[in-house]
Amino acid sequence: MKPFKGWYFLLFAITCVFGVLLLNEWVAVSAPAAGYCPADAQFIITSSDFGYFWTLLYLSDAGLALRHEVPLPLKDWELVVRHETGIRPTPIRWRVWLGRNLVASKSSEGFGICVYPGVLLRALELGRRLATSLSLDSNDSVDMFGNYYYAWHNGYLIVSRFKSFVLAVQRGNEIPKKGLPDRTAIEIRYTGEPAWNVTLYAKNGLPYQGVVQARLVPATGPLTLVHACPERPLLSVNTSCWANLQFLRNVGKILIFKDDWRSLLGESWCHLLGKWQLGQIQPNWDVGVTELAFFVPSVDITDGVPVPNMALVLRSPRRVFGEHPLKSLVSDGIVLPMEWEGSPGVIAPLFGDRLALCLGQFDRDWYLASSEKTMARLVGNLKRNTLLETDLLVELYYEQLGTLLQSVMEAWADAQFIPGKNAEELRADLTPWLAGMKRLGRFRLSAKARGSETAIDGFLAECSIAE
Amino acid sequence: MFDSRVILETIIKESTLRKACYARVFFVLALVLLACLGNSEADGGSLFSVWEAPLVHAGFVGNGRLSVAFSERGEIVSIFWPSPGFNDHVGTGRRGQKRSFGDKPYADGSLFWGIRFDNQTVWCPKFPSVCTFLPAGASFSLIPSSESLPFSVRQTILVHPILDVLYTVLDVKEAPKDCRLIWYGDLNPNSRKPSAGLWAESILSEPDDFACFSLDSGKSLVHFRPADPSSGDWSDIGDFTQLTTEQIDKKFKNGVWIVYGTPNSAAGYQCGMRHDSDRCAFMQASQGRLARESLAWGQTNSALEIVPVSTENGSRATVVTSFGETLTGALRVLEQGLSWSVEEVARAAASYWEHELLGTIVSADEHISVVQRQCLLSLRMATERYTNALVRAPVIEGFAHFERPQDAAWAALACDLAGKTDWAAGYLTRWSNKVRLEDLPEKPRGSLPIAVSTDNTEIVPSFLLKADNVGNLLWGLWEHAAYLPNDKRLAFLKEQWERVEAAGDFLFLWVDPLKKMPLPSFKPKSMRDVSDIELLISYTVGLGAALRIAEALGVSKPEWTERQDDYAVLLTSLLTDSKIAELEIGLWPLLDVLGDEVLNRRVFDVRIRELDRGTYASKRLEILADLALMADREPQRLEGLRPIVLREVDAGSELWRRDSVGAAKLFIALASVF
Repeated sequence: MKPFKGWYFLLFAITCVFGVLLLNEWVAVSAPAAGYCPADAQFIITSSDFGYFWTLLYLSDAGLALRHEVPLPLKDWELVVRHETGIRPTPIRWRVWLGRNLVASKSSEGFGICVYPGVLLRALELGRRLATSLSLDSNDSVDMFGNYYYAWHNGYLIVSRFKSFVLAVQRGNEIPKKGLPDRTAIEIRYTGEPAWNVTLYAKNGLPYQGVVQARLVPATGPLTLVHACPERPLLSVNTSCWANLQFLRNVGKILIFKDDWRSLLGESWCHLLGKWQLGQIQPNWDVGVTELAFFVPSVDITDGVPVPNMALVLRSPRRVFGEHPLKSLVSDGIVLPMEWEGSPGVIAPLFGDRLALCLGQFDRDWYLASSEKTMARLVGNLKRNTLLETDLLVELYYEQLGTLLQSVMEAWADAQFIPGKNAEELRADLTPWLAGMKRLGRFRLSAKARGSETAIDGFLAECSIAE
Repeated sequence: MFDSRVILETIIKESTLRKACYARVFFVLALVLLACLGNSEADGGSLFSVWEAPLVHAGFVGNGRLSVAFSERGEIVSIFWPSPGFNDHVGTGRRGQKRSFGDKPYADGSLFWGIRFDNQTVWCPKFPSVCTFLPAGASFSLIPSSESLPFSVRQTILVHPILDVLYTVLDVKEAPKDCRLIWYGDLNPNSRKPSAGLWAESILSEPDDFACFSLDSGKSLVHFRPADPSSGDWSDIGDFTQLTTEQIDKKFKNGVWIVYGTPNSAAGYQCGMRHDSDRCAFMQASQGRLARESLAWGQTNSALEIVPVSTENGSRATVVTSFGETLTGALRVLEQGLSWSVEEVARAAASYWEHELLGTIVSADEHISVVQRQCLLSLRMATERYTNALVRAPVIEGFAHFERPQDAAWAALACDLAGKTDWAAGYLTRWSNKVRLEDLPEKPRGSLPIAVSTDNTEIVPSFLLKADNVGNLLWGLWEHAAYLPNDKRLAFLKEQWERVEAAGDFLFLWVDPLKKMPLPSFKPKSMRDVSDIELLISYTVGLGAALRIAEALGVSKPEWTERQDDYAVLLTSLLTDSKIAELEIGLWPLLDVLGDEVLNRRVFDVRIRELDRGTYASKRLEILADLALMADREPQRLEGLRPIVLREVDAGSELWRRDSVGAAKLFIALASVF
């Protein structure tokens, strides 16, 4: 029997592949900086090993919970990229072709990414340039591949759908390697007002921590109303003073689109307020209030219209009596006298039983609720919990949010609100996502004053509490 | 013709549209959840702007199924089918367009004529015109300028009295020989559930439409939308223009099919895309180069270039538009429609409506009787043929396309005064059947929906409680009974008693026990629940009417009497002159119930002063009707009112041609005064 001479060839081939991969990896890690972004970038996301982060994200409890319901959560996006570039993106492919470092940014010119690929993509690009009429000197020239513009800049590859963005990155700032988060995390930086940065870890619960360049009024003692709502609410906010809600508003407003949606939202809300002719809140109305909690215990859905049940609890150091600090809100309109747990209060009706401003008091707390039902559930029924040393706490429960969105989706699907899909398809498309959302547990943000800035930390999806 | 690029573009556009809608769904949630954050920087529109929009159309015509509203310049701004209350297949009102010509957005959501001559296209709505109402339509004589339109033009809009066919005609005098007439249409077929209207109109700016095509090279053009189209329908539409009509019907099943064609010869056509400047039918027609594309889908529009035929008075082009649930049905109706001349249809319509109004009691004065008949015509055209559902007008603005009980009460009184008690009974029993007989959360026994869509479903959100609806209905029922002969009156009241009792109990029970004031109820003007003097008046009127009905039937209701006395005492103290002047409801029912002659004189004097101060047209009509009813038995007052009412008739606002309830009020004023 003849010896198998192909072993030499096989060994050679394997050595070559490993060699190329090693070389590819060596080039990728030799990036002198993290990457580049436009000088006026508003959002900058940086990662020292994006492929690895992506893998860990999939393996985290939140990733697994979501994939339990939606096995391929990025399917649509992957398909689009495959149609446009010929390669379906996966964590491994990202790392082989685009290297380790990632700088993704968004500016007024658009958005896109900057990476430092290994030798494979560089070789492919050289081959492409040789095979086509493109100039061999690729540095700083903007070319197109599919629907994407790209350019090489000091060895970095900039890719975007917007040519102006690519040019802006070429003219932009270098982001140094120093200060990049470790391989298990990405950093998200917002340069607007107020500026903030957050490091998100691809670990169980998706923990994050960061800093917001805004001042928070520190609490004089531990918060006592944390988890005080008798039932698990959709949303709860605990803080020591009203001014801290302004902090939340400033940070939160970038989450709302800054286009006509936001105008429509604001205009509709202002329109309603104008029509309702609520009174002005008196200055210094919150003097004596040492802590406040805002709850959205549930949202009623009727005919597809979501009406939240909301409540605000204002806590004082000692038993409250006299006029409610927010009485001036309803003093110009019709109010009906009411009593909760033997304490006096009033109801100012707005939309029947669904929406009525209810003002009441009990023990050390003033209450303001959006419906009588909510008021009855809360007054005198707040739970006593362990104290929490923080200045602001926000918690959102995904199960309640998923249930709410499911109800809205059902109603709106029946009403044929979404063009391009009928009710059946809409249910088939969205139900797994909403089921996945319900498994994500809780979003938690805790903020603590630190001089002129605020330190934040928490969990994006604390799945463990859902179990 | 279409190609794969077109398919891809359409998919991308629809996908973008869908994503926008997802965003809107979440946005509305954000509205309520993040409301606490507020926003002082906002300066855009509001979700409620459609709710409060004034009526901007100049008039409407219809046949109880197909209802068409038009602007003062002759463009069609809405087409409701198969009911005056649902659905709008054009959509100008929904989009809240600014009413100025010269830019393309104006062409979105409307239908109008254009004239092509000397290498230019002039669009008729650019020119002011004088509108004349016909029995089943309207005509518009354009006031041309010598430079841009050097000949006279007349547009006519007609609706067939029985079939769902719309005729639009353009007559041009002394036109150049090579002149071509263009009919442009941005139809947006809507197969959505009408009950979702309130939110759909507010939130979705472009929810409708589906496709536009031609099977016969422009002889007829079709706009359609299947019922509940799936993504398969949207993305895999295919070139079905080669299929037969039966095959197309099988492919897309039922929905809204709108077909238009011309008995004249077509010189060009385009099935275009509204947002694609290269394929847009309006842009192409403006440039005089219709591309003859036979298929477009997504947000479509279309145009037809017509070679006019010579007539005695010049040249004429006619477009006939038919409606159906299937393509086969719509084409069959179109074929019939095309077989008649416009004059034949106008004669048939005149004769039909003449017959409909046969036996109505109108004034002996010819001028007054013509207006009275026009008022009744307006009322009947806004009434659904089979169900007696009445809308103010077939337009989205101000949600005039919903049914409301107060409108039914006014309409019923007008019909009773006209001797058409069967019509009146139709309007009222439709609402009395909606009185709730079960006590449900947020829907107490005896209450009524705030408004309903003409398919009988309550409008969304249904949890709003508008208690004055109950008072209006009870008054309407009692008032109607007074016009019936004795035997019929008792039978009518007996038939209604179960509902009347529930409604009366509601007005008795739904009260603040301490203040004896009605519990707050929703008031659209304030966008919230209020308990004010207007609500108290409606309670007093309603309970008073219920008591009279009970008395007529020999039923004793001492608790109602006691409560009614409480209300009367409270009202007497609250009704100051300045308060009376502020009230925005008719007061005659109250005076009728209270029977207080002194109060009657006071109210009459205050209201007549208010009229002199000049309020807006719809309010004036309400006050006029109110005054005329108050003055009913006093010749001196009636004498004084006559010139005022005549002035209103001659003022030319012709509100009664665009608002059926305004028409009912004018009829009441005329019938009472003359």
